[in-house]
Amino acid sequence: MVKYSPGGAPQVDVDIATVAGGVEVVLTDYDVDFFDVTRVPDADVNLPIEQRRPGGLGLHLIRRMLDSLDYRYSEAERRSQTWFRMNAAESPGSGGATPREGPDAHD
Amino acid sequence: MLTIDGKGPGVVALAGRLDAAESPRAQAALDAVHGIVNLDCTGLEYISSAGLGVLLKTQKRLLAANGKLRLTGVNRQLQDIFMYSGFDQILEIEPVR
Repeated sequence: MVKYSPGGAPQVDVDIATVAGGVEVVLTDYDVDFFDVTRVPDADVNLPIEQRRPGGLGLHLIRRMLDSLDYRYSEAERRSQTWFRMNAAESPGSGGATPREGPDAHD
Repeated sequence: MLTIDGKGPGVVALAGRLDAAESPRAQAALDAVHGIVNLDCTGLEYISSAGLGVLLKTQKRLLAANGKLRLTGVNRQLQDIFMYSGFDQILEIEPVR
C-alpha cells in the first residue's frame, strides 16, 4: 500500500484479530484505484535463473502462506480492503505444510 | 533489523529480517563478494520478496563469473519460502542442522 499507492490518502488501517482457529488481518487503504490482489497471475517460479528477474513474488508467496485472501473495493469511497487469514494449526514451518493453491477470486 | 557480518573470506552471515527496508544494505554488502560465497543464514528469521531479489541478483552475478551462493543454516520457514518461490532450484541450500 505504501509502496504501490503513493498517491493515495496517507491513512492506512491495519486490523488484527484472532478468529476461530487462526488470525485475520485486514488492510484498509483509502483514495486508491481498484486493484484486486486475488486476480494477479502467479509468478512463473520454474523459469531458469537466466530468465528470472527480481520482483513479482510478494503476492505469489502470500497466496501460498495463507489460508485465504479476499479483496473488496468500494467505488463510492475509493476504499480497498484486503483480508488475510491464516489457520494456526497449518502455518508454514510447523511441519507438514504444503504449498497452498491460489485463492478463489471474489467479485 | 538485519545484521550483516563478514565472517571471513567467502563467508557472510545474515541475521534478523531481510525485508524491503533492509534490502539495499544487504545488496550493497553482497555486491562486494566474489567467487563461491557461503551465506550463513543461521540467524536469518525472515526474507521478503525484496530480499529474494537481492539473492537472485547476487547469484546471477556470481554465476556469470564461475562463482555461486551457498546458503547454510536455512530454517524451515525460509525453506518454505525458497520452495514456494522456486529459489530452491536456483540456489544451493543447506538446511539448518
